[in-house]
Amino acid sequence: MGRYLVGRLLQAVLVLALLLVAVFFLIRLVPGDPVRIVLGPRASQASVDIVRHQLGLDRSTLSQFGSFASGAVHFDFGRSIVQSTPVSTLIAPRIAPSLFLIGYGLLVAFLIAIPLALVSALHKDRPSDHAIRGGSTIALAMPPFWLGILLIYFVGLKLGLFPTSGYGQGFWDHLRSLTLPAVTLGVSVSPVLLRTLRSSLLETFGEGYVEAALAHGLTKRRVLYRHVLRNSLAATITVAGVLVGALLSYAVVVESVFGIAGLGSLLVQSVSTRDFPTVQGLTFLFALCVVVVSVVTDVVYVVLDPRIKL
Amino acid sequence: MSVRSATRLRRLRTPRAARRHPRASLIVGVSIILGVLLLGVLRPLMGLPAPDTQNLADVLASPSWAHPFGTDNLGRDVLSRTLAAAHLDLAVAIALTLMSLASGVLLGALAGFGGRRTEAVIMRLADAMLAFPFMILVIAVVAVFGPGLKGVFVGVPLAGWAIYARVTRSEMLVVREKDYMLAARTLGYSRSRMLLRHALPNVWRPALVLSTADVVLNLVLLASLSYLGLGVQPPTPEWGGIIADGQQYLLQAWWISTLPGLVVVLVGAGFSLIGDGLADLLGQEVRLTA
Repeated sequence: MGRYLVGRLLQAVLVLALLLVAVFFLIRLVPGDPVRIVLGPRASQASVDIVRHQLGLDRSTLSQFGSFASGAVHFDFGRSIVQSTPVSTLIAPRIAPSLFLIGYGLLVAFLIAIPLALVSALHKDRPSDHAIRGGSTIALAMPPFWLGILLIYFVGLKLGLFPTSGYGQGFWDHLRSLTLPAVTLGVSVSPVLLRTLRSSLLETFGEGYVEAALAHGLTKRRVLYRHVLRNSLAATITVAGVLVGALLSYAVVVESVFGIAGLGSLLVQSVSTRDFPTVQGLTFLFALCVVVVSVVTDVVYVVLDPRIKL
Repeated sequence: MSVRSATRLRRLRTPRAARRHPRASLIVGVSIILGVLLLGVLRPLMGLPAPDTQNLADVLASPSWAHPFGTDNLGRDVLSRTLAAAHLDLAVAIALTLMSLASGVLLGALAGFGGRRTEAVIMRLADAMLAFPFMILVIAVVAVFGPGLKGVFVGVPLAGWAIYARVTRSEMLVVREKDYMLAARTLGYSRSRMLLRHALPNVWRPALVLSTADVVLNLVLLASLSYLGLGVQPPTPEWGGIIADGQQYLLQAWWISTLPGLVVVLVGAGFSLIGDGLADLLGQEVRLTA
């Protein structure tokens, strides 16, 4: 166990180091002069030189990477070119709204997927199963921004039930403001969860312990909730990586649709304004999240499942 | 426990012989896609104005016989723009998918066929690509090239090959143990001939089925990037761009943003049907994850 943990952590550190190199070269791969692109063709040579010096682009690549890497360890990615504040100050206040949205969206996704997967698996190959699977196909083809706009129009503007933009003040206000965005996010990622749960439920039905529990005279309901559902839910950990990737990806879009000042909307703005240091900081932060989640799920999986011996 | 509930749970385990109609879902799926494309070509016959024709006397008009999807803030016909966008969106999404498919199948076959070191390098790279959020990786590449299709065409295959490589490699691990591969080796065929002539024709099926789901994802991705202003740039009609333009006029003209989305969903459903049909014909399963 200890050995596995150390190996897994070393692997994660290696991946992060490679990602750091990739993020470092992000700005160096830009065709043409990145500073000219940011400042525009009419900027004076003097201001171009100043920004180039600020970004450290006038030094040797090796010395640039040295200071970039040592800064990145403290999450210092320099100053934003556009806003002239440190990238970390720009990012910090946006972490909470994004985390709230992603957590809320994940909750909605589970609330959608669990009952539907149960119905679908219990009624396999019958009309309700076909309807649910067809629905998940449609949810997959639905662009998340379009779903968000539909919710803004019908639920937000016509029915006036929930705010259509922003993040609000205080916990309950956040919860209300993020309801429509979280539903958008939850519906968008639910097909992956639904299909995983459905096939894992069907697999669990065939397990010997289910038959044993039934043979012992436990009620069907009890067997379903205590034995089948529990084990099937544990199986969703295996798609946690895919799920987190989808949540982060769709959150970028959803934040922009609903005007939430989160990390995703900042990423889109920074790409549009070609604010390279901010893009670098955000990309690294997203990568860090993914690596941490994958290490945690691997460890949780091993801890939870006594059948895996190390 | 009652006898009935026992039979009920047992029935759940034994899959009932599935009544599937692979041909029917293939035909319906292909007809949807071709139908949408054909409508775009037949636009002049239907009396719809060209997608970029502005009519400032008729702005934000609600859906009618003359303009089934209404008009936008410049008086352009929304259905006409949606159909014109279908050609661009489908062409780009299919091209992106084919690029990922081709490179992924080749690299996956190589990983399953080549030496242990080749395999380790390719599969670790694929793992890294699959772990990273797809859209954020593509956006990071767009950041390098600037908003537009160039970044999309570099970024999507860069991230997209990995899932094909993974399914093709696992297929390859089975195929390389087959008798015909042994026969090819015994006959002294070159490794490249064994790979290209004997192994590849037997490992592409799961990847092809996967690609139908991938087209849908790429369609949604392209529309999303364009919606965010990072993909196809206005005034070129593109689904995401049309929907983004309409969002500012949502209260006065709900149709600009909502109706084109229905076409996107319809086309996505068409590809899913093609995927289901192909999967049944080829004896495969449609998967969302590797």
